[in-house]
Amino acid sequence: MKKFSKIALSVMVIGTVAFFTSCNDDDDTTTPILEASIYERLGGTKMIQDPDAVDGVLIEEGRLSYRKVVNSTVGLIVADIQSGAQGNLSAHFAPLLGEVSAGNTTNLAILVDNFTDFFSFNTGGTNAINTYSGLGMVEAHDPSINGRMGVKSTEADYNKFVGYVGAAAVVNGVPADSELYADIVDVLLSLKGPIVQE
Amino acid sequence: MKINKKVKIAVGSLFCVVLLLFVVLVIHIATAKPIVIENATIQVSRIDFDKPFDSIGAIDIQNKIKTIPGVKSDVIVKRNVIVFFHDNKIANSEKVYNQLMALGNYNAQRFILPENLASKKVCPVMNRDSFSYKFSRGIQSIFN
Repeated sequence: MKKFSKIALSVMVIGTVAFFTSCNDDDDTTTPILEASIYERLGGTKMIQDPDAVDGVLIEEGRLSYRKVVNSTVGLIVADIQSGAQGNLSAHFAPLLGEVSAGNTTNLAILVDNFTDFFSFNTGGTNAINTYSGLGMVEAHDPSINGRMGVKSTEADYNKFVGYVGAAAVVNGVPADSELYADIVDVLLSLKGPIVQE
Repeated sequence: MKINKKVKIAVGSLFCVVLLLFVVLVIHIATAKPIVIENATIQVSRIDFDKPFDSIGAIDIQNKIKTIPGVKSDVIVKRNVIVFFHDNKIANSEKVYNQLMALGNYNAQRFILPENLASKKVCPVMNRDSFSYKFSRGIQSIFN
């Protein structure tokens, strides 16, 4: 009887251990692969020559990528503005074409700087150079608070804007069928709530 | 004599308040971090041509406009339109237009923004020749 009990006890212990270890979720020893941030995939913090500055002025490659996409977005929108016609986001972006006298800061420079800071910082470019100091998303898109915002944005306007950003990304070498492209569009779509106010 | 003393106290108090406010203003300006804007004088402009560009023509016009001093690296060619960025300290849109027209036999015109679309707000609102601007910049240059 004593011998039987010892054997039974051993079987129960082994069985219990085998049961719990076989059902343990932690037996997967593979390390999850952390995907690089969008900023990293756009070049990250690698310092390169700023093509729009004098020789020797360096810029993070991720920041430059964003700036070029922002510039191209503005360029594509401005190209579609029709004289004397509404639509094509002209109410939002046409004011950027207004010239100021030489040496003065332009509305465009402020817009591009804010866009570049905002997207760089929020997609992984957390160095001080990318610190966003502009208004919050709701305030920045409210014409009564931000004088540079011509009119309130509708959902149709915003979707069109996202389309322009996508086209600008393609112009700057991001393939439309890539994961990076999809991730950039996802970031933009996640901002729709506070931006669309009409 | 009594009135004189009261006047002296009032004038002295007023002077102290003004001095205090001035010191606060100087400290405020000194501690305010100046906003640095990349390419602060960048401007976007557009030229409309009489016919659309084909792919070779688009590359050719891009290369030509990029040789003009002050024009930046991002140039968009779409249909018959070219949109470019330039430093307004070096060239305004008219100067770029004139120089581009001299580089080829083009029929084009500058896109002039209709008044109803123009921005009413222009930055900066502070006149660079004004005393307040020079005073602020002077103090900031000492501390930053």
